[in-house]
Amino acid sequence: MVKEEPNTRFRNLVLSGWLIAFGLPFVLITDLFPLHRFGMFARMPNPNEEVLIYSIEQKTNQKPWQTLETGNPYFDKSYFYHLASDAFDNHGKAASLADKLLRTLSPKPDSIRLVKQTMNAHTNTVLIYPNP
Amino acid sequence: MIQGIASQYLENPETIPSWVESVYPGLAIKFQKMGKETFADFLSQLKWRWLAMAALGAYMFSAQQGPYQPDTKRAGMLIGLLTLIPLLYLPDFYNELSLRSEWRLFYQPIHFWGLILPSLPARWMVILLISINVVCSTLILWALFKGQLNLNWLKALPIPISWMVLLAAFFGFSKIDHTYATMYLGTCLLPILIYSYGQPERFAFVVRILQACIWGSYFFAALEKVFLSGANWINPIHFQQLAYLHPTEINQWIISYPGLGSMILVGGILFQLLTILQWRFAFWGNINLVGAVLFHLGNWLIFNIGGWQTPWLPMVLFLWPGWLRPFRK
Repeated sequence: MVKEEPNTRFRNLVLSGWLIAFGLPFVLITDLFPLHRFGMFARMPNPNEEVLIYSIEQKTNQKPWQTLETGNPYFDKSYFYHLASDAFDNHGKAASLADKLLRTLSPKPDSIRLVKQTMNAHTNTVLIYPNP
Repeated sequence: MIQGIASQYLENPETIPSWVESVYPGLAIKFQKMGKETFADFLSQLKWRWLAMAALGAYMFSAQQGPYQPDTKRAGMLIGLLTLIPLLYLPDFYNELSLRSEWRLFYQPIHFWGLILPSLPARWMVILLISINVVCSTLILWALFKGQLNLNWLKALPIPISWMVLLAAFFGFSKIDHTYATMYLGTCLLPILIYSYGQPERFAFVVRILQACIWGSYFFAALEKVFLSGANWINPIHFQQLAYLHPTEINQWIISYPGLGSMILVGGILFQLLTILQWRFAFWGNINLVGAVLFHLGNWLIFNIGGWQTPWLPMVLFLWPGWLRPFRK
């Protein structure tokens, strides 16, 4: 049996670690921290599907409805979209979302609603505060 | 085995043991998000994904080049840059975490991080972690400036550890955001790089692994697109859908030319798929470097994603094959 040289052993160890670190999340499609998500835009697209955009809107001091924005691209374009899509058809999540928003936002809004918009400009809304 | 467990999940989610949820939390999330039909499609991909992994492993074990022996000056510059670049991004990191602190009620730690960071870390803890990072990085940079290249790798160890904790807090909102992906991987390799200094063959291999972490991110992203999107990736409607989700003036103009959007998407995925060639052909690193810059600038200009200051861009500097220039006396 040929004895491996230290550098070969080191190389194989580091390379195997690399394959595991990069390969497992790809095979399992999971969010194993601290490995990152692969494939921005990768999804199972259906050319006939309706693309939906979700957002959260608030009304304060009788002013018109305003989209919730913080100025941070992650929150404004991704996180609020995710929260709204999660809560849109789920009453329990909608109530919890409204509660957290009321405890976070200042000044406190009079009303909060979730908006779902399709590529064909159809818009649906769900009022989550005050609870209808 | 995973396919078996997942098939069982499709039949009756209630019968799955709790340890499966702990080891593979993505299963429940995918099932919930994809719905039964799409989830079944995903399951059919698992065997192909394993096969792709085996093929990649065979390729990388058989195609080991070398030995490239980086010269002392460039090795020092490489360690210095890998220390300096993440250090320069710490203020941005601090700003991002400060903003998240205003939304701390929405904090949902990922998996086992819930045990370590049950709530968003307090400001003093963030400052402490960043300070540790700054002190360690400064010590390394000062030593390099003084010409001391034989550093103790332990000095660099707190850097990836503090980055990991900060990232765990950063990622505690919704899904994993891959903003700092390669920068974090770079900090993980920093202690190994310092440890390997003085052994040129070993050092060169770690540099190639560092490069693999960077091109690998693009390569795996392409595989993900191939598996999930398939031929639909080049369907013109796909570009229109992306443009709708990320509207800009440029992509609205692109939509007006049939086929142009698809060509851009094909160009992107081709660049990503071919990045793997750098493992076998060092010169491909030049193509990867230019390709990655164009890729990120394209994402920014066409879809308004990222920006010129995205943390991905400085990391592509390490793809330059010149870091592994053969040793010269």
